[in-house]
Formats: sequence, structure tokens, C-alpha cells
Amino acid sequence: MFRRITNILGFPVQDLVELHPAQLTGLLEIAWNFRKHPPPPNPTGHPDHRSDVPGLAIANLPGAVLDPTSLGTNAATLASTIRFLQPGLRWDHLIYAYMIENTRIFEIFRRVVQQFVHGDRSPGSAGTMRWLRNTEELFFRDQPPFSITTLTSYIRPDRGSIRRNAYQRMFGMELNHGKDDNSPYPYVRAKAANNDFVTTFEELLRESWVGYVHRTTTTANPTDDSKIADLANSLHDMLRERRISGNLSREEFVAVSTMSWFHLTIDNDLPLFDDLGINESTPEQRLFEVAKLVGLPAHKYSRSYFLVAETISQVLAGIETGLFNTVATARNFYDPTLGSLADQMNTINTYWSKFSGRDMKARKVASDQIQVNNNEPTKRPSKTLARANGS
Amino acid sequence: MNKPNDSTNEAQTAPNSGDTGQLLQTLNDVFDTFQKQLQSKVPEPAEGQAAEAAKAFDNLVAEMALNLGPPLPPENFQAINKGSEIELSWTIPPGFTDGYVLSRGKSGGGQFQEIARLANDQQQYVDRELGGYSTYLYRLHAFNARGNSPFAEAQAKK
Repeated sequence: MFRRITNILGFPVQDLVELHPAQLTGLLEIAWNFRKHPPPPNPTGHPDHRSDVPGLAIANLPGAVLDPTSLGTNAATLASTIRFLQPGLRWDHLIYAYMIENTRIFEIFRRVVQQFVHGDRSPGSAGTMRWLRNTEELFFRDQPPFSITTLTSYIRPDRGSIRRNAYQRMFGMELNHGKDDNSPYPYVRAKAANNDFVTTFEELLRESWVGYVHRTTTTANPTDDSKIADLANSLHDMLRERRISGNLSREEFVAVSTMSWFHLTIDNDLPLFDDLGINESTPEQRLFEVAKLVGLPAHKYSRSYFLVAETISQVLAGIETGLFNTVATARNFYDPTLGSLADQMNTINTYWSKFSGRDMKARKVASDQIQVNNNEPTKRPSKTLARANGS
Repeated sequence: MNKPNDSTNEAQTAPNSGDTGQLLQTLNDVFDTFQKQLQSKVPEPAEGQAAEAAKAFDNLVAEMALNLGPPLPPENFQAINKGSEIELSWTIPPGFTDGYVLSRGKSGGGQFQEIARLANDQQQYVDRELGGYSTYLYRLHAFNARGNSPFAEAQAKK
């Protein structure tokens, strides 16, 4: 969400990360209030109608908060521009947060904050002080009451557990890392979860690749449009099942906003990196260097996660919207002459194969063969997308 | 293709030819109806659906994408003479639009002058401040934080 805000408005990243935490929370509140939300017929939970839960009824942020002249920014313009965006804001799909969090970026920056606030490291610049204050206040403490970003309670006190629970329900997947000592991260696992997501999505990737390879073949074409449509339909149904009545929308909004903050941080040459003595220019190289400093390894395929996060988010949003549920639209998954979906599927194919360790472009192996070879009944692929580097 | 009555003309002159003729006429009508239905069958809509889905997806991606550019121009821009005034209408383009700027000029040269700045949900404007009889030219562009769209143009004679 923070990345989207800066890009939509052409707002300098440096200015955004140095706003007052109340302003940043207020911007999220405004973004929620002005989410894409056209009138029915789309049921609540649909990508065009994520939730009916109201945000705080703030027409604008309090004047005093809006005019931090010392920051040299105009948050009022920022807020009012968000309000007038048409056709309303969309935020990323939950898969974006899952992909970014798999780099271990959140835990690495938790250690950075920890070292700064405990005095093991001193922030050299005013810019870093502001980033530090915002990061601690926004993501490492309870949010203010009644805010749309407030998820924690006596019932679910830990934000990390809330995100993991959401990933498990929506994708049947665990993050690829546990706690810092590699022990399992405790969270409540839901009984109703999309445990077939990974197998279905991977099947769609494979079938789309077959279609792409044979898109100009005129004879004996192994592409199976019916199967592609069926797989897209299955994904659509399972994702929407978890969204009934707008379920998981707030959790998604908060998870996406959280990961977007850290993605924005690592993606930009902020004073923070000068203060940490890091001169790398790419997000993954910066992350690796920060990880070294704090002694917690980042995932070795962090680059893949960064590169694929937004693409896979767009594709799942398209599938969830129900755009590709018919045989007539199956070709969109593999024919680049029919829009951008085919290229996006190829991008996902490449990176998913890399971090999952399962080649989506390889020939399929019959499931009965897997059973015989493993001598195990119906073994499913691992639900985790590879292990963290060094773990 | 032979129709049922092509080979049965003889039957129409046989005894009880009235009943048989009526029956054959009915069969003939049914056959014609089938044939018309077959001829009017809409072609397989696959390509249409795929193109529609592609457009809807590209629109969704534009709304989710990070690298927002200037907006697209307003669509279906029209100017209609309503006597002493000219009514302008358009439809909102996909993507992010913060508002519109409407300018007016006259045929035969001269510069366009901005006559209104309109909110992003507006789809109509009535120009009442017209001069004498002339052909009025209108330009409308959308804008957002990243810039201006190309012009949509329309004209009406007064």
C-alpha cells in the first residue's frame, strides 16, 4: 500500500517514510475508505468489493497533523489526492505479502529496530530517526484503537501469527521460516483452509506453459483448454470461498501494507542504509547486507520473491475476479497476443520454479508413479516454498 | 439442399390434397425456420470473450500497477447543439483520473481557451456562454498527478 501511495502520487519516498506515524496511519485509513467499492452486484469479498467494514469516518486528517511544515511535505495534498482517485484504490492480493515476507525481510528489520532502540547501533541521521520511529510505532506495537489497521486483541495478540493464519487459510501455505532459532512459529491453524491451492496453481502453471510452447502448433496440440479453465475456476472458487462476506480483507490490507513498507524501504536508497554502512543498489543485495549485520540470513531467492510478488498478486486478483473461468478465455493464460496475462504467467513460472524447487516447465510425472516410487499414499508437494537460506 | 416439398408436388394433387398440402406447408415452414436459425447462429464467441477478459484484466493490472502514467483520454466525447447552448458529454476512461479540463475554440482559427475544470466523476457540461453563430470546437483532457491525457475533440454548430 505504501509503495502504491508513493507511486500513484509521485510522492518522494524519503518524504513518505518521514511523515508522522499518525499521518501514515491516517493515510492507510483514507486508503481503506476509498477502496474500490462500486455498487452491487459484486458480492462482498469480490476483488471489486473487498469489504463492507467501515473505516474511521475521517473526512480528512486533523489539521495539526496535516501541516508538519518541519517535514517539508504536504500531507493534505497527499490525503486529498487519494480521496479523489478514480475508480478507487485497490491493494495487492495477500499473496504479495506472503511473497515479500518469505524473504525474511520483516524479521531482519525487526532486529535492525531492536539494535537501534537498545543502543547497539546509533542512527546517524534525522531521516533514520524518523524511519525508526515510524517502523517501531506502525509495526512493532499495538495499533491505535478503532483503526482499520488494528487487528490484535486479547484473542489474537500477535501480528505475525495473524498473518501466518491468513496465509494458511488462503493458500494452505506456511512461510518458509519459523522463529529466529528456526523453531516453528506458533499460530492457530484453521480447519477450513485452501489446502489444494498449491497443487492447483502449479497445475495451472504447467498447463499454461504447455499452451505457451504449443501456441502455434496446428496438429496434435497437447494444450487442454478445458483443463485450464477448470483449474482457473477451482482457484477462483477456493479463493472466493475464504472471502465470503469480506472475510480476511482487513488482514490482507494490513499484511500487504506492512510488507509494502519494508519493500519500499529496501527498494530505495534511504539515509538508513548510509547509517548502516551499506552501499548496495539492488533490494536483494541491500537485504543480504542488512541480514549479515543483524545475524539473520535472508532467503537466498529473495530476488525472485521481490520480482514476482506484484505479478502474482495481479494474476490472482484477475483469477479471483472470475475473468478466466471459461474455456473461451483459457487461451489468455498462454497466448501473448491476448493481453498481458500470458507474459505474467511465464514470469511466475520462472520464479516459482526457482524458489519452490519444482520445475513448472518440466514434463509432468503421473501422480500414481509418485505414489509407487515413494511407497506412500497420496503424498502432496511440500506446502512450503523452499527453506530459508542457512536454515 | 432439397426441401421436403421439392419431391412431393405430386402428392399435393392427390386425394385429400388439402390436408396433405397443409401438412407439407407446415413442414416447409418448420424447415425454413430451422434454416434461418442456422444461418443466423452467432459465431463462436470465444475470441470476443477472450478479448473482453484481456481488456478487463489489463484494466485491473493498471489499477494495481505501481507505475501509474497519465490518464487515458475521456471516451465518447460529444457536443450537441441545444439551441442557445451546447451540451457536452463523455464517459469516464478506465484508470486513475483526478479531473478534466475543458477548452473551447472556434472554427476558422484562434486559440482554445479553458472554460471549465471538472471533477473526475463528471460526465456532462453545458456551455451557455456562447457568442454568435459559429462552429464551436471543444477539447477535453483528463489529468492526474502524473500528467495529462491526450485531447478528446468534438464540435457543434450554433
